[in-house]
Amino acid sequence: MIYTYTISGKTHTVRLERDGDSARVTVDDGEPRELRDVRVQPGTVEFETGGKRHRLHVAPRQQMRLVAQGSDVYELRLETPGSASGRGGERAADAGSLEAAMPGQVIALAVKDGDAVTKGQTLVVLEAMKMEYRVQAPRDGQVARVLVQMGQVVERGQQLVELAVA
Amino acid sequence: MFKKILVANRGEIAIRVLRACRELGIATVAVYSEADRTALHPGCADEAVCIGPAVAAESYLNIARILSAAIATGSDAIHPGYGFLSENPDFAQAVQDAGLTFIGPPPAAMRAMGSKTAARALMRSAGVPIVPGSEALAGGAAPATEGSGAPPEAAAAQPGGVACAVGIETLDPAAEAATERHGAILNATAVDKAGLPAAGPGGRSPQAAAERLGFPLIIKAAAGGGGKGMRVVESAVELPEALESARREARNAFGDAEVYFEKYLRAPHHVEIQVLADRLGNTVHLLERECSIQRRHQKIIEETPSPLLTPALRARMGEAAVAAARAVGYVNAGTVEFLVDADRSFYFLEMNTRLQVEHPITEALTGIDLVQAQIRIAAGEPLPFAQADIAGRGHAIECRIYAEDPANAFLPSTGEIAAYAEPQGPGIRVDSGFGAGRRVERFYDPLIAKLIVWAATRDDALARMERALAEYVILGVRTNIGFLRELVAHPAFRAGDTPTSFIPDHFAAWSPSVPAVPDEVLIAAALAESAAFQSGHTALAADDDAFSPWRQADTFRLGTPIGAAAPPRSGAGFGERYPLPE
Repeated sequence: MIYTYTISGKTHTVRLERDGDSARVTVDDGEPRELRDVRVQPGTVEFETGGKRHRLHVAPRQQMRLVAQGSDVYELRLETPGSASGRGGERAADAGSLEAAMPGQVIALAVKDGDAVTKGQTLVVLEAMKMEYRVQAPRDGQVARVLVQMGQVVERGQQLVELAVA
Repeated sequence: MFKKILVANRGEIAIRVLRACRELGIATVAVYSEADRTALHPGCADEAVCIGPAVAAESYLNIARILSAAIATGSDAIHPGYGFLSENPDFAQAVQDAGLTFIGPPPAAMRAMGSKTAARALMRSAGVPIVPGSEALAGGAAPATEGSGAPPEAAAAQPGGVACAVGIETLDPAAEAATERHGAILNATAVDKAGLPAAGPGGRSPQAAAERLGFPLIIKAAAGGGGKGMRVVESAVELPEALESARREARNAFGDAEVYFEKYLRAPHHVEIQVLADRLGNTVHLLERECSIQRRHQKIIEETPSPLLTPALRARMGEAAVAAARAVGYVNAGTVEFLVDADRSFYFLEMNTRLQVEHPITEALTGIDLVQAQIRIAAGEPLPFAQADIAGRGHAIECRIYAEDPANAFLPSTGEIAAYAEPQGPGIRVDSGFGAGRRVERFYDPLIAKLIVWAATRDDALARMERALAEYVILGVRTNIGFLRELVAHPAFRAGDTPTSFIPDHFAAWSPSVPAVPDEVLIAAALAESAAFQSGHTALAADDDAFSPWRQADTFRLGTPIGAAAPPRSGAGFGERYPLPE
């Protein structure tokens, strides 16, 4: 998988291949590195690389990923996870997550976790300022997780539904 | 000894007091507003009572509600913490009238020290030095209205005597940045111009007044401030020309050439002395705290001992503080604040008739638990130590961790704390009102925690504070930790060169630096993301997702079943229901 983040106007890519608690990672144009003893818990991530063990805290905020290394805090904006074929920067179709295009309130949820969906099927309906907005499946697939609940007020860019990785 | 104490406060100080009560075997009652329903402090007491909506005036400042909570729970004493009602003599009186014990000084002592002019007059008669100044000087017109913007507390200066102190200037008035520093110093003194009398033909001659006051002195306009009409005069030779120039400027700026003198304190340090007095007349001091690192009148770093004090000065200031406390019949814990000049003259500023935020550094230095002492004193016990028993050991520093955004003019940063990990190790103490999953709300001051370190020497304490700050994880709200790290690492701070102008002097144009993002940060984010995909349900649930199995549940809630869903985010949340006090 390729992950793309921006921070302070710069874009970074992380190419990651996991294998149990090991991984191979390349950051931007750097050399590939081996990660060992990878542990991901709610909120904390640990791994060893180059003889050094790292422990960081990670928390999501809509599209942001807040990462703390001790008291140094970095606010990354997740642009996209991409497919291993390297088409980073694409949205929606391969990304598997659907976002609200505007702030609004969830007035209908047409699916639940695990449902199979077809391209064009309405998944979520948002309402704002007397307008309705239907969030539709960009492809055939399966709902991995519904991330909102009925009546919830969402912000622009907030993730609504995750589709299982195709 | 008391059977049950109600703590009329919130956040870290409520927890601090509750801990002391527990250690003394006393039952505890916490109070909380509706905004603090899921805060940390209510769960730290045996009982908790909701006393009203978020707005402080209707909860933490509501005397009737607090008293009724105390009576309903059968409390026999109330500890007010700091801020809120802690220095409100009406509250202290009401507590007593209700038959409970107020853990603090008598209302009369609060009143005596509450009026700055009355306090200064009292100090002068007690032989405690105050910032000297002159009355209006001959040769100018009668003063117009008070122009400094300070609260107009009337106090006639004794005819023929030296008027009470006013504000203090420390820097070149012509410097543009002086206004900020001017403001910082003035507010630190809680300026009130002690009603300058009309000059009249019988006014003191400038030369005589200057000689009496001594140099360096500062000439100030009676009718206004902001640097206009101000001149620093180093010696008698400079006086006539400076006076003329100041008067001209004052006349142009305020239409009034009236000026007066004040002693010019060079780069003063804010140094305060902790006092403790029992009900049997024993009064001691517990050494000093250096509190000069302030941003817009808000203390952010305190330390003890003060790098400026010599043993002789410490002893003299301690005696003055004890004299001040005795002069108002003080009982319980209090703090006498002074300004100390570069030439090590000290001058009374004001007395705080309560426990202070920075009390932990005194506890670290002396080994004395101040809150336990407060409780014991209120219960009528004598102090278990005399002045000769009190000694300072090592060095202690406190940094206040605020939920403030240094990239946005230090405005409060609110939100939910997603990740939180305090630094640990020898000589580290954290008094915090927050943890992971707790929300920082906008209704109260944005203090998250106090980080206190102790070590054998000042250099060791600085190194320990640097490590502790570097290891403190707070994710989800922006904090001033990066700013604190730079303050502590600054060469002037390391050298102990910390007048109250420290932050304007060295950090006036400061903004947070944006370091390059290390690889491991990107790797960690990607690993967390990949775990989310692989597990099928997110290890990184959106923080407002009530169905997330990873969502931290508050286990202590009143009136809500455990595991109840969280309210929908934004819009209908607390922010709308309780309008902000503005």
